[in-house]
Amino acid sequence: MVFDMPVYLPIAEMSVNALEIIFLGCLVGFFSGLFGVGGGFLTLPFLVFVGIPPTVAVTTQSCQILASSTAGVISQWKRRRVDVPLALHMMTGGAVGLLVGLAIFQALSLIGQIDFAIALTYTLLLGGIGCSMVYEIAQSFLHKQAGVTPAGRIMPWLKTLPYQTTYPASGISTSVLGPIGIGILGGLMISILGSGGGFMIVPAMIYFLGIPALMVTGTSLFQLMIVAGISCVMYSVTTNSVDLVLAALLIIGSVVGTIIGLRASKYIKNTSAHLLLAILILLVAAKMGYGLIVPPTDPFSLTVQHE
Amino acid sequence: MRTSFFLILLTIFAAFMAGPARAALSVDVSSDVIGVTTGFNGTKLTVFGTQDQDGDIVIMVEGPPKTMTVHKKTAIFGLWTNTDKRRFANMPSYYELAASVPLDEVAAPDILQPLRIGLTHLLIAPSVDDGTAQFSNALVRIQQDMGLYGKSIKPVTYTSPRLYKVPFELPANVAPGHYTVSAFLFRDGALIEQAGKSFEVVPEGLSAQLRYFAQNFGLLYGLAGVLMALVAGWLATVLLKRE
Repeated sequence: MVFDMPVYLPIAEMSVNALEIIFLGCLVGFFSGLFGVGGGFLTLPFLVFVGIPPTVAVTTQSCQILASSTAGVISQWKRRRVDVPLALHMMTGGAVGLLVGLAIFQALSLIGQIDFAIALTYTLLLGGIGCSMVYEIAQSFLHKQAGVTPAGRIMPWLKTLPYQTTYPASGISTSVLGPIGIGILGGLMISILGSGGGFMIVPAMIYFLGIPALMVTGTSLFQLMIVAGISCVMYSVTTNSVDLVLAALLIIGSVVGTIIGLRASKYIKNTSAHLLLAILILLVAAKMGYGLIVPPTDPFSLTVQHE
Repeated sequence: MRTSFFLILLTIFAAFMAGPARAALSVDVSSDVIGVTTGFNGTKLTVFGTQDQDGDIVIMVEGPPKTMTVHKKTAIFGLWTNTDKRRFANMPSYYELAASVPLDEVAAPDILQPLRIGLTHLLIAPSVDDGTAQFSNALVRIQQDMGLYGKSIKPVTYTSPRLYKVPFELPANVAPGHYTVSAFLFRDGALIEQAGKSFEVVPEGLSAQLRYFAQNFGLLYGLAGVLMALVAGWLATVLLKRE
């Protein structure tokens, strides 16, 4: 076949069509170029559909997330839109989240429920995101106006917690436990779901901590970059499941995709592009959910222990 | 062409060597080492040899043994998830058979069983029926679907009355390791001669080096991944600036 370029993945120990993986990276990059969203939450389901073991897919994702967040951080850093102390506090939580996530992941793998856990959480997460996107699009379509960014509403109870800290760059003052808590959530997302979790972290930073929208992207990407880096090293040392060949293919695709996405953003109307992404997310959620509720063609599955 | 010529030469040589020793059976394989490179997409393998006496011949190729776990899904609250499992130790990661006549004409099951000839004889039947059979059947079926276990018994072809050969296929997903090729000669339902040979499936090139690196220098491997990602991220911004 013309569109077949077999590449052997050394860690996944299987042969894949390189073009398929690059195309997948391209698709994810396209959406991040178009909207500036990570899109990592789309990569994992696709990798699982292709047949890559979830263990390898999730851990390899950290490497790809690191690459895309680095690109984002560089451009945000130049505009001084990174709150470093805040990002470092989030990162501390992120490291804790990573360790807990690794333990949960290992335990789920051991009892043979990791595929189920990933499918279920992804169905719920992507279903939720897709529906809320469709809702937002419908709202903006009905009201014919750009969504007004809500003013930061700092959770009052965060003010009562100990370790109150001021973050001058963001111009906020809150308990250090807030950023750490959000960091833990991010660490869990990256180590169990192989997603940067931007779609949860960013709103949490805006609504719970009251961080100005201008500072959110750079700061969240900066902490994501560090946490993804730690995750990549940690998984390489503990589970030996990071596949750098797979990571390289994904990264190549996402760079190309990002450039195409940025170009396309000049021509594609924002609403229709958002709708496209929402439909794609809902399709992936539907496919994952369908796999959970429909009797499988083969109820049996085989895992081979290596060494 | 060159390989087939080489094969014939080898066969003649094998036949010549086998002659004086009066071995009734010899077996060899077209390559001793099969390299799994980054572009590996499966390969063909020919087992050949000589048979100096009349009789029925069986060729068996076995991959490195692995522990395999079969999970079974059932619906819980309408959601399908793994609920039961069985573990099988020492299962060959690859298993193919060829025979000159159907297996039931070769010998009785009690003779074939200890020789591990036949998929049904790979798995030791439990003394009590605890439902393990459905798991072992699933194991065989899944391995067959992946091309790792033979779906049927291959025929043995004779290039001359005493020279036999059997083509085998190793799919892209073969496990690296030590593979054994066994040849058995049966007459009137009894084993009269046995010969063996082995070959290695070895990861080669970039993929093998990466795997070795990952398993032995995890920290450096992880840092290399970080470096690759950082460079790629930086490159992306440089490329994007041109836009």
